[in-house]
Amino acid sequence: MRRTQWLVCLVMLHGLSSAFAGDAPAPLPVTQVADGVFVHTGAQAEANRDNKGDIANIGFIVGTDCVTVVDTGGSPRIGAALRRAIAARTATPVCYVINTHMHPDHVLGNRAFVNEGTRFVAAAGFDQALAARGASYLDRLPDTIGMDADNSWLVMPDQQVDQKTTLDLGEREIVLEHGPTAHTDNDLTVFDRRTRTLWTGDLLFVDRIPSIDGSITGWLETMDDFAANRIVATVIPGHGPVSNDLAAAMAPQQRYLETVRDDVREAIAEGYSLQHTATHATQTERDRWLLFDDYHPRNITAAYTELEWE
Amino acid sequence: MTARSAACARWQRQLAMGFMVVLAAVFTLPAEADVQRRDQDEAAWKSLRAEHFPDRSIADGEDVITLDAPYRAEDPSVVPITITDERAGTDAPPIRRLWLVIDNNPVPMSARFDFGPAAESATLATRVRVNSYTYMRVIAETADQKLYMVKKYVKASGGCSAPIGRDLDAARENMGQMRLRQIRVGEGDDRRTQLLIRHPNITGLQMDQLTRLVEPAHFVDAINVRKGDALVLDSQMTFSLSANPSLQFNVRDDARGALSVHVHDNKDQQFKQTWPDKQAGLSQSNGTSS
Repeated sequence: MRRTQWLVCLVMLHGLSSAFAGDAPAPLPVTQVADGVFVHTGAQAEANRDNKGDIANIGFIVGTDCVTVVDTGGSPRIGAALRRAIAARTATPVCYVINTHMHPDHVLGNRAFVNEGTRFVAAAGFDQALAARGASYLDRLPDTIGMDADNSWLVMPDQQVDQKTTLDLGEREIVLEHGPTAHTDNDLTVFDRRTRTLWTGDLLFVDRIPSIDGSITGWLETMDDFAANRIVATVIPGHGPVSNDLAAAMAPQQRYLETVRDDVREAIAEGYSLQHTATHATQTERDRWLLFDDYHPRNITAAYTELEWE
Repeated sequence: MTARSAACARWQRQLAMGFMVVLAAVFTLPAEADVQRRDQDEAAWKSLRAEHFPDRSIADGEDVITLDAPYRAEDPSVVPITITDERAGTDAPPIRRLWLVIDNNPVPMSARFDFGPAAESATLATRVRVNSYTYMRVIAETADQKLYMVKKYVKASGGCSAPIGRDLDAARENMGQMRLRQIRVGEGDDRRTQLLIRHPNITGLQMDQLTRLVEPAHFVDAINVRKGDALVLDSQMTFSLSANPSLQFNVRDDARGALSVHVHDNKDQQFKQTWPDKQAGLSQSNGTSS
């Protein structure tokens, strides 16, 4: 019996780097937020040596035939811990890993799920965006989370969603939708029809300041679309607590993005430079967000360089 | 081949050689403490100096130019910098030429700006990419052939390897579109001219071993600005400039005639636009591209 466990263990570790061979992570703590929908809530902080890149909300949905994972965390070790959390709850195989966009805190755990039976699914544009930035993501990891990474941490999708597609998990249909450039140019939402649970990926930040890596106007359009067309029982943001009230969860982000857009438009109209605007615009939001100083000036830069072409 | 294009070709050859040397240096740099990094940066500059300014002395330029760059860049692909001409309005020999060097970028010699009779001063602002923690330097040449240098350390990384814009498609579709506005200097009412050019300015460095999705380099490499027949600014640059390049400069109030801009990129595309006199500052004009 012990011999068999050893073999199972060895097989599981096969393909993982020797750095943590023999040191399998404990199952990731997850909460069941709706029937068969499990979420791990990441730390509301920058990726650092304490949280080791565990800063995003990640999880899985269980059907009768298949499990789908939604995002995998900021390192293969977090992905492996998520895999153990799944194994502790169901023997159903992981058929899909969905990436909601290409940012490292959501995708660098992918490698833990590389397996013949698992398909990686992402929006159109994901591969190009990760290809362009992957090397610099990996370069930063020794400084941020204190881990050395290599190219095996970047796992590209097997299946691309151009606009909308449905995955059948067995008595459970999952709808994936890719809209206009918003948080990034490859945002993908995941909707579980049975429980009306919406995973927004980073199209929604709660408490933590949103970061603009796409288009501020596109993001606001996307939120208008959510408000008008989504009837949701449970919303799982990319960062921050799970909620049962989509409108209330979206309101602060909507206010922030609208204020930034309006302030930056005004600064441009009055002839203020990018440099000046980045340090002065929308300071009214300072005390309302976690990590404001880390992201706000960059958000202003992104908004300014977009809106100066209007 | 005209004298100017010969000079341009020579300059680009120099760029290419510098690229090889520094690429090798960059890839052997370990992640080190700031101080060690800075020492190594000085070593990188020594070879650049020997290549671009052999046998010339370079004096401290503190009284000649000021380089304003953020110590920690918010977005490494859009780092706003301002070079202020401290000789403007004085009797000292004026600045004729500026070089911008970003030591640890793949092509450190990032831009060269020549100022003509229609330039009010050699003050210039732009936005650059910064690929790793680096010194940024400006070398000024004055009318009496003297060289002066200032430098600033900038903490940013990933500007060149991760720069495919947030909106690459928009930049491509509207490539060559230009905007001209009068932008405030700081908070006050003083203004200077800002030129914006739609261009993806792709570095060609988005290497990826998994997908082989590499965008070939495509960037603005020359911008010429005239007022009437008189030169304001003639510049050559690399992809160290951010996507949708921005230049701010001062045009003499008494310079007459239309403001015309001629942009060239490394794929030999050309974009031209003209703003009539008195109308400069409005963004409507007749543009052509070829």
